[in-house]
Amino acid sequence: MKNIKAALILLYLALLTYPAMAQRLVSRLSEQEISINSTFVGGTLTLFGNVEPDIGSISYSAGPFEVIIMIQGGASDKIVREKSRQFGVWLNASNVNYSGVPSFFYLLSTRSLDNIIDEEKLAELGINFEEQIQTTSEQTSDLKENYTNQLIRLMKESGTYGINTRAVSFHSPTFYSAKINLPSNVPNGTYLATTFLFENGELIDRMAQRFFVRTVGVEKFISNTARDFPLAYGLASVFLALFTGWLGGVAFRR
Amino acid sequence: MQIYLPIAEMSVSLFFLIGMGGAVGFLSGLFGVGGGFLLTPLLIFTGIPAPVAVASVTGTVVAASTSGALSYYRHKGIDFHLAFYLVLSGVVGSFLGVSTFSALRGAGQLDLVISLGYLIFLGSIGGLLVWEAVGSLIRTSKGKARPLKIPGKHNWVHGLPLRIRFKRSNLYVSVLPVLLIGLIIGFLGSLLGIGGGFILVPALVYLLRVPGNVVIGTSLLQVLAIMAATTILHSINSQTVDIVLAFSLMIGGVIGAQFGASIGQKLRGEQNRALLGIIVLLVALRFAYSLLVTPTDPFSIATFALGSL
Repeated sequence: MKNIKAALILLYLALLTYPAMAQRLVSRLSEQEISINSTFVGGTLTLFGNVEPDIGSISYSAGPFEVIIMIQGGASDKIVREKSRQFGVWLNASNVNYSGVPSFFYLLSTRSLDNIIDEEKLAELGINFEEQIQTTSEQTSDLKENYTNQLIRLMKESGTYGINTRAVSFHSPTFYSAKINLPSNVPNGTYLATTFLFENGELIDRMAQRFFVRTVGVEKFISNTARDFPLAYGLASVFLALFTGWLGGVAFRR
Repeated sequence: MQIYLPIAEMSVSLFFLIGMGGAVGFLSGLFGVGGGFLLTPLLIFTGIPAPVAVASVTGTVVAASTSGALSYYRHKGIDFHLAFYLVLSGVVGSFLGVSTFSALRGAGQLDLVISLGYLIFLGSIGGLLVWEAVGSLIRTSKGKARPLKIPGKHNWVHGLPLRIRFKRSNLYVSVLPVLLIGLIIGFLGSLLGIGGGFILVPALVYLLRVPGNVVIGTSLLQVLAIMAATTILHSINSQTVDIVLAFSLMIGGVIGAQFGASIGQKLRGEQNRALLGIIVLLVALRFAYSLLVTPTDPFSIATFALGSL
């Protein structure tokens, strides 16, 4: 009896000293796959989740919680080029190479990021644009910083990078949802949506989900054929063109 | 109505594409040019990635040239013998052009070469066409009889060896300048993403003295063959031919080309060439503008597969 009582007291003490881990995040996506068909003009993805007390925890807090959701698309290599006037004409004169740049990067949050957590911690977690973009070029850091900012600006202008600090809203103290509109030029590939849960400026949990952006139907068939059977694809394109031209000639025969 | 382009990975208005194809197709039928030199810059301006625009336009030019060439074929406006030699060397030029295209794209100087190429060739050809046509129109309006053939039936080109008789064109010339012209057109056509008809037509007229009634039809046939070869080469090399984009442009293109070709038959040679010259000069000026005026955004991004840099 004495031993059991001591064990219970120890367990109680252990739980008391571990209150920060008493919350956990459960997040979900509305779609596992965004299908691109012939009339695709963009898609909507809803992300939602709940903050739940951990199993066995005795005390838990009811927030307020803050959420940041980071959505990353598949990586590719990029070159940023700058034009300057040489020999009287404007031409691409200098460049910086980047390797493994996300083709898509979006941040959604409950409020502005610096109100949730300080910048250094954000950078540590990789939750900013600059952390995503690593250069392989050997140039001065001032130049690289400028080009990195230009890369981010151009990607934002194309709609594939962005930030929305009002996208996530809490419907109850623990239940949140967020919506993201994917533009029509959203790149194909595997995406990772990572949800970070914060309380009082501290990260208390995170959860990641994968989803896919894929062409389907005829569009999938076309892009697969172009990649896997380029000669047949080229011949088919030429025959289609010859046939269309011939048909036009016959239909409009005078 | 929006349509998704599977290779460009973006969606564009279908009616916009068909309308643009139609307008350019009309000009292509009218002047016997492929129309690529107008279509490629227009597509790039719309926001379609340059490699996709260049490669897909080659496919569209094939369709526009086919219906145009058929129309001229029915009017007996094609010299097949001459076209054969032009195509032969043209395909070789196309091979060289596509490999140069890839090399320049890797070095990031493709835009510059395209702009300079358009400026130099369109500027000089356009200027020449307008100059000659205006002079000819002035002579005609003064009441002087228009010569049946361009004055100076024979020039230095006709003194070269290896002469061949082209019956349909009523020509007896060396095969060397014919092959050289074909080669240059094939090279420039695939490099600049154009059919090259606007260079070929004046070359045939001024260098070889090909008569006006067969020059456009023959030119269309050569452009057709070279662009078909270039479409296949681009499909293999860069995989940037967007068949949906090309087909949308084609539908407008073939319809426009029919109207253009029938009006082209009614226009006098000089009027035809003067109009073509003006359009060519305007495009050249647009490229001069992009080369000389400070760009609004000096920065640009090029994307490559992961691990290729």
